[in-house]
Amino acid sequence: MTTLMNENFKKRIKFALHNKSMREAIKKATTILKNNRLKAAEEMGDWDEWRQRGKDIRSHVIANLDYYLKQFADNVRAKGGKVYYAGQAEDVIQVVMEIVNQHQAKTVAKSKSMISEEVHLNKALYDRGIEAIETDLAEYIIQLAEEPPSHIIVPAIHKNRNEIADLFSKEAGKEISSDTPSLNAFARKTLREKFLTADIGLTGCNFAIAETGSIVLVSNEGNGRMVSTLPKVHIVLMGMERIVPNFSDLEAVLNLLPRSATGQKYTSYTSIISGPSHPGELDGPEEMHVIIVDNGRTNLLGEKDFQEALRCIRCGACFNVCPVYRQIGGHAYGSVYGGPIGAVITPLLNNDLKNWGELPYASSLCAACSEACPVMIPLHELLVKLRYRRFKAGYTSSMEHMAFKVFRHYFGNPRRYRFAMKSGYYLQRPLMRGNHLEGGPTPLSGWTNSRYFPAVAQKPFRQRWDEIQKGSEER
Amino acid sequence: MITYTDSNEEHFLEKLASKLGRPTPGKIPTRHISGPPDFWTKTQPSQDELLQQFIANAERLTVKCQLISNKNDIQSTIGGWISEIKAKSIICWDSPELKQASIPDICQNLGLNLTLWNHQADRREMIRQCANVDVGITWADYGVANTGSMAILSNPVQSRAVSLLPPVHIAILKRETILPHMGDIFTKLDYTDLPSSLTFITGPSRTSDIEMDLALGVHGPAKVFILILG
Repeated sequence: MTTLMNENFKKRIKFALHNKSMREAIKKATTILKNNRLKAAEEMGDWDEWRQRGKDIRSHVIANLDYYLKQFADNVRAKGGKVYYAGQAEDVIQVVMEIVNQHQAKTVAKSKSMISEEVHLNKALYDRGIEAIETDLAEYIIQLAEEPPSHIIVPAIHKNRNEIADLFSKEAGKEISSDTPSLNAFARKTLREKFLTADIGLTGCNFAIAETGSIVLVSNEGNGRMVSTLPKVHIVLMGMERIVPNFSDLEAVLNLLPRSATGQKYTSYTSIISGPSHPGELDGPEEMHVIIVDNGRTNLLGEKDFQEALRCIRCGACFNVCPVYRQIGGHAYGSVYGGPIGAVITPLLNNDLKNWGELPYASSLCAACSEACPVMIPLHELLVKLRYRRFKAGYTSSMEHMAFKVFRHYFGNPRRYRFAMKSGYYLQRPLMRGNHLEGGPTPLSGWTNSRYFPAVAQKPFRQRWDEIQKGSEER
Repeated sequence: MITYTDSNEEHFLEKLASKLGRPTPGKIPTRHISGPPDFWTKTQPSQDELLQQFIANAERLTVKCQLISNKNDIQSTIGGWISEIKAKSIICWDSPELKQASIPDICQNLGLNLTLWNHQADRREMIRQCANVDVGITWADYGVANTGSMAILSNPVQSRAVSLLPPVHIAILKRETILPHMGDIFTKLDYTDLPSSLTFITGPSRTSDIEMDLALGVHGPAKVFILILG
C-alpha cells in the first residue's frame, strides 16, 4: 500500500528485494536459527512456563527500575567500579572520551555492543583520532565494509564468503582465500594482536545483577572475554533496562537467551564480572567503568502499552520468524534495530513517528514474533497500537483517510453495501484474470500487483445463504 | 556542562520515578515469583547420571572427556592428548589443586616446555607468554551437567588468560563437583565475596558468522579436553 510508506523506506525495500544473494543468505540463516530454537526449547519441559518466568522477572524489574538501578550502582561502586549515567547519545560519547583522555588511550578493542551502534560510537571515536576495533568476527566484517549490522545476533548475515574474502584481502594487502578456515585464521591473527595491545576494552552488557553489581556477558567467540581480560581498562555500555534482581533470576533468563537466539544451551562463554580485578590478580582490568544509558528508553517507561517492550533481552528470535524481515533483511529498516522489535522500539526511542512511524507497517501482523518472544512481548499488538498512534498524530496520508471513509460509507449500511457489490461485479471486469483481479488504478494496484485479490462473485454469499438454508430445511 | 560521575544519579533516577508515577521504593520491592520455574529444581539425578549427562553434553560440543579413577593414569591420558595435538609448550596455573594432581610434574615428564602462571611477574610479559604457548591447563571449580559447561572462579592463582589465549585448553575437574544446573553453582557462591570473574565455559570458541558455517577457535581455544577425577 504505497501511501503508507515514505519514499526512502520504499526505496530501501525495493533495493533489498532486488538483492537476491542477500535474500538467499537471510532465508538460510533465519531458518537454521529458528529450527535450532524450537529444538532447544523442546528439552526444557514446559517452555511457556519458562517464557512466563522471563516475562514476570523482566516486568518486575522494569516496573521498579529506579530501585534496582540504584541497588546495582551502589554494588558496582562497593566493588571498586565506577558508575556513570548517560541520558543521551552525546553523553555516552563524552564519558567514553573522558576515560580515553584520562588514559591517553589510542586504541579501544570492542566486543559487540548495540548501544555503541545506537550512539554511533565508532565514528565519534574515529573523528577524535581514536581507533575503535570491532572484535566479534561479524562486527569486524561489517566494520571493514563500513556497513551497519543487519541482524542483532548475526550482524553480517547479508555478506557472502567472497565479499568477506575481498574485504580481508584488502585489509591484509594480500589475497586471503575464501574458505572458512582461511578467513577465520586471518581474523584470529589480526584481532589477537589488537586484544594484546589495546589500551581499553569496551563491551556491552547482556544482563546486570542488581544484588551484586555484576555484569554478565555471553559470547561464542571469546572476544568478550578477551576485551574484559587483557586491557587494563574495561568500559561497559549498558542499556538501563538490562537488570535482573539476583543470581536466581539470572539463571532463568540465561536459559532463555541463548536458546532463543541460536538454539544453544549456553553460549561458549558466559562471564559474570564483579568489579575490576582483585588485588594480586595479574590479568583482568585494573579499572572498570559502567555507563548506564537511557537514550530514549524513558520514552517507553510508564507508557502502559509500550513499557512491555523494555523487557526485551535482544535474542533476535522475532527477526528469524518474521515473514517481512525474511524478505527484506535488516538494512531496509534503516534503523539500528530491525525486525519486529526494531519496528516497535525505533519510533519510541527516537520519539519520532513522523520519520520512523512507517516501520510498524513492515509487518503482516501474523504474530509469529509474539509467539517466538522468550519474554512474551506482544509485538504484533504493539505494532497495531503504534499505527493507531501515528494515525492520531496525523501522519497518515489523506488518501488513506479517504479510502477508509469510502469503505465505511459502503460497508456500514446494507443497502449501500448491496449496491457496491453489484456495481463492483461489473466494474471489475476489465481487471479480471480467472477469479482474481490484476492491475488497475492506484491505490488498488498497490494490492493487486503483488497480492491475491479475489473477484466479487456474481452471486454474493448473502444470496446464496438463503438458498443454502432452504436446501438444508428440505433435507 | 554535566560531569558524568555518580553525581547525576539522583537526577537520572528521579526522571525514572516520575515516569513510573511514584517515588522510588525505599526498600526492595516485594514479588512472589523469581528464578526458574519450580519444576526445574525438582529432579535430583544421581552422581552417575550427572556424570553421564555432563560427558554427553560436552562431547556433543566436540569436547573430549576422560574419567580417571586411578591417579597413575593422569599422565598417560594427558600424554595421549598432547601427542594428538602435537603440542610442545604449555602454561599451567601454579595452584595447590593442580600440584596435588602432579600436573606440573607430568607436563615436565612429557617433555613439554612448561610455564607456570606467575601473578607476581610483569603483566604484559606474562600475558604475551600465555598467548604464545600451545596449551593452557587449568583446574575447573564446577561442572554443569545439563549443559556440559565448566565454571572457573578467578583469583590471583586462577588466571583468566590461561583458559582463553592458548589454542587448546585442558581442564581438570573433580567428579563430585558436577552439579545439575548452573543455578546449583550459584548457590555455592559467597555473594559478599564474589570472584572478579566467574566464567562458564561451554565447549570451544566458535562462530558461524561466515555463511552460517561453523568454525572453531576463532578467538579462544579451538579444542577443549576435560579430565574428570573420580
